[in-house]
Amino acid sequence: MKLVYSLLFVVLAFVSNAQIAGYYGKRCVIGYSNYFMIAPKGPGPLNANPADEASPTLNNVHCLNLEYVYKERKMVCVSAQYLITGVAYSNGTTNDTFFGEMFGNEDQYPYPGGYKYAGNFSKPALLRSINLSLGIKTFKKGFIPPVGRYRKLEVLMFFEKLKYDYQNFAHADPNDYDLAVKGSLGKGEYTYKNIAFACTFGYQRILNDKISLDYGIRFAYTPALNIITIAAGDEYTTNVTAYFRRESNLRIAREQLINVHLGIGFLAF
Amino acid sequence: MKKFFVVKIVFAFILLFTGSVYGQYDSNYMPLTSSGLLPEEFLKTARSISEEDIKTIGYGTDRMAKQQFTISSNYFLRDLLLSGDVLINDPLGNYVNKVADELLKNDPELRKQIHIYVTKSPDVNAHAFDKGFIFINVGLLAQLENEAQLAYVLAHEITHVVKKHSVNQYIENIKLDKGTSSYETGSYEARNIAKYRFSQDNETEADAEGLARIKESRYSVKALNGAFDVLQYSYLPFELVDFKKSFFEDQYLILPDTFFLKKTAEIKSNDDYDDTKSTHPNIRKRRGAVEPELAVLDEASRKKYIVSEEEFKKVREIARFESCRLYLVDRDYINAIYASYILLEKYPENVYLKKVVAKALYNITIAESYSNRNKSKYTYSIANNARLSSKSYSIPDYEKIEGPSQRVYYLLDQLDAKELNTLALSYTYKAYKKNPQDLVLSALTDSLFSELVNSNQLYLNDFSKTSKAQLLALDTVKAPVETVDTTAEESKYSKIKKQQQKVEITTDENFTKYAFVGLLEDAEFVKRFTKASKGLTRKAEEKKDNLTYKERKKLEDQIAKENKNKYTLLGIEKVLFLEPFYMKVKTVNREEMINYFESEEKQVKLAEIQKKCADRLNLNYEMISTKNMTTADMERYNLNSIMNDWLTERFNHGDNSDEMIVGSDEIKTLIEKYGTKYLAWTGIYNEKGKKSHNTYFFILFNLENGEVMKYETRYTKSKDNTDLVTSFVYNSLMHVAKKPK
Repeated sequence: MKLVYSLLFVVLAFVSNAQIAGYYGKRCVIGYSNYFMIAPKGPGPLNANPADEASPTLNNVHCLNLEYVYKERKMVCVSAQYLITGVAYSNGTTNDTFFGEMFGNEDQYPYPGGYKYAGNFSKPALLRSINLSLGIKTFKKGFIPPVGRYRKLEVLMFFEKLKYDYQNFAHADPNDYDLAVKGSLGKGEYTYKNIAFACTFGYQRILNDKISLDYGIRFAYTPALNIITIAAGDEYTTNVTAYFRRESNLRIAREQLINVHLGIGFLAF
Repeated sequence: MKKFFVVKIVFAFILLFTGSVYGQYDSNYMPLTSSGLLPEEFLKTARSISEEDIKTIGYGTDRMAKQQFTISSNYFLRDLLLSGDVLINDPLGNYVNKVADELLKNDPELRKQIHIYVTKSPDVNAHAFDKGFIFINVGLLAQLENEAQLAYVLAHEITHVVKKHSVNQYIENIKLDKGTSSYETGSYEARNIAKYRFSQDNETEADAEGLARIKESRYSVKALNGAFDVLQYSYLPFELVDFKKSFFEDQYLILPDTFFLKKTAEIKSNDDYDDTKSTHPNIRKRRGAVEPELAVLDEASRKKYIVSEEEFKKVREIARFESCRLYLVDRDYINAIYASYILLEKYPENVYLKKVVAKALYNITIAESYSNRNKSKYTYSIANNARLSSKSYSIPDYEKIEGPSQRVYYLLDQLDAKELNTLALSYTYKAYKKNPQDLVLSALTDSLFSELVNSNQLYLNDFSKTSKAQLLALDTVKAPVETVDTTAEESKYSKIKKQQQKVEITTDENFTKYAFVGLLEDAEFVKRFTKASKGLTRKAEEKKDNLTYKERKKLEDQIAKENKNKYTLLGIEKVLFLEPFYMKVKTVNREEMINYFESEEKQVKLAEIQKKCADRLNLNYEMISTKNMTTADMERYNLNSIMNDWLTERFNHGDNSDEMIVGSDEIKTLIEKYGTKYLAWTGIYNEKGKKSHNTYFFILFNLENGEVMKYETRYTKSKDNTDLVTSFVYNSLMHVAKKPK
């Protein structure tokens, strides 16, 4: 921890510049933001009614921010985020492929190894992720950070953890395809790492010379998505780990794609 | 007996006083200032007046327009009253009011409603507000011929007030814009011209009604004959006096005859100009409408002067003195020189006039040197405000000047930077020697020495200590050659040198070389010149000419970096602030409307923010404000006036901080009073259309030398929230207050 503090001190000493005014002489903002957006596809953490991955819900990402003005128009932003959502169990009615959605492909056993979910569809698999991000806020010409219109470019690291009801799966009886035999699928918990690049357009205000208010819209793109959905080929149809990685990443990618955020904080020093 | 003695003493004092009416300008003149108590009408806020006025506006189709006009004219009037341009309890205003009293003797009710003030402007003009305020410019008083003409000007303006011409014009203009006016229903262009026509009709009515009012008074109607001449020739100086070149010359400084126009351009002012797009009818029309009415039966019993001929002449003389200074403020340097020249013929030892000439010459010299160094015509521009923008100074085209003053324009146009500098120094030093106690002349002399050495690279050895006449008499042309080697045969080169020296002595082109022959005998002159030569400051620029591109670039970068560091953190402890500027404008259907009430509220808020930020930065803060004044606040009013004069002149100079702020020497009083030489001014222009736009500016001056220490503008597309404004102000003040590491 000492090392972290020392590092932070060195970084701040390096970036601190006597000619930067900040707001009222204060250049560091500590705050909380909530990123949210009604997700057109994907359930929340608790409810997947009507038992479909298309159930719309409100995404929520809780975010703790530490921001520091280090240049005339720039702020460096470090944040830790906590994301919790759900991944709907597939009932095999739709497929993610374009044609599948068009023609209603149905697969009675959609999970790898010929499994289907046999539990409560309205309770989705829980997907949690702790994200770390590093970003630079560039304020538009004329503004003096931390007040004004800005564009923030950031890199996000996702540390995902998917927990699902692995014992409530079933596979077809080898002797009678229409007869399902209860069984478990995978380990029930997987962790994945992911990365995203985000661009935020926002506006930051300071109320009563103390409280920071931040709002805007963020667009995030996960390059891993391509690797998983295209380059990985059909692996996810046979490999449970790959299947859930794909499901988790798709969920996160969709959730992070467009978000609005509202944040509150205070001017620290 | 004792009583009789007292009466004698009093009488002697009166005689002494009246005698000094004309004698008081022999040695000096003190610029006009306001005195006494501030009138009540200066103390009410524009908002409170507007709110009262709005209540009196009846209902009807024009209600909105009347309301808009009332608010905008009240704010405009308030700005003018508190700008410091308006003189209170001054000899000019007092006299003009006496004339108004006489004119409105039979209408005491109207007299009560009329407030007349004199404004510090050299323009030959007067204007009226519907609320009863009439402003007469100093420039107009300097040109009038008699008291009756002044009475006529007042009568004309009073008609504008009585007939409420301003509001009627405003409403009619709106109707013409919308096409709902019965005055003109034609095309857009026709309606546009109709606006001018409507204004001209008002002016014609004011001329006629003004004349009728004069006829009702005891003033001579015949005396008005020249009233329109005053207007027609208002572009000319107040007197036409032949300019003699001896004004700048002495025994040794002889200006070449070729620098003097043998014949000046004739005065051929056209009184029948095209007035289609003019607010006033042309002079011929006005004269034609009024002059046939000038014949009255009782002319013999009428007078040109009723209040006092002596006082009129005294007032006019003061106005002429004051105009010299106002020309300087307006950067009309050559008019300032010529006006001073006219008065110096009458008061040859007046130091004020000599200072006006010296200051004007100084600034022309500086501007000439500056334009040689900087070819760009860079200007300051704050929020695209024309008043706060300006171009570099250049001598006006002499070909466009009529009358004897053309000689001055021509002469100064012919002189190059070195010649101008030499001429200015010679004039200023001689004026200083006659008034050695005058610090302004002393400072000007030093600055001119510095300019001579630093900008024009003229050193002591560039000036001859022997006059041309002496050289010719002693035949010194041969002397140097003979002393070198008397036995040697005269070479081709020594012949060339001799020839050149002969030409130099016989021609008058190089008059600068012999300009200081007399002055170089003065030990103080030589001492000051030597001192200036040691303080070379422009070495870097001189060197730059011989450098390669890379070296030059490196040097420029180094200078830029030094300048950047120099002005980034200033470490100033105390700053004097002007009342901030705030304007909120709403754009509806491409039409801009100023929200006066909100602007006023925001202005107060901005001042609070300034104070708060300054306190946080431990910056000693002082603001010259015209808000919440009482009748006893005349000193504050005058200080604000000095400040505004200074600022107006400084803005006129654009980015050339070498030019001296010459309009007022009073700035030193202000610096001493507040204990700081730094003046800051902040402002915001906020425009709200489909989106909000802000233009913020901060400017910091050094009052001693006019240098711009910091100039910052920020343009943002956002609302003018308090936090945004605070961030701007804090940033500006931080750079002012913090010391460089």
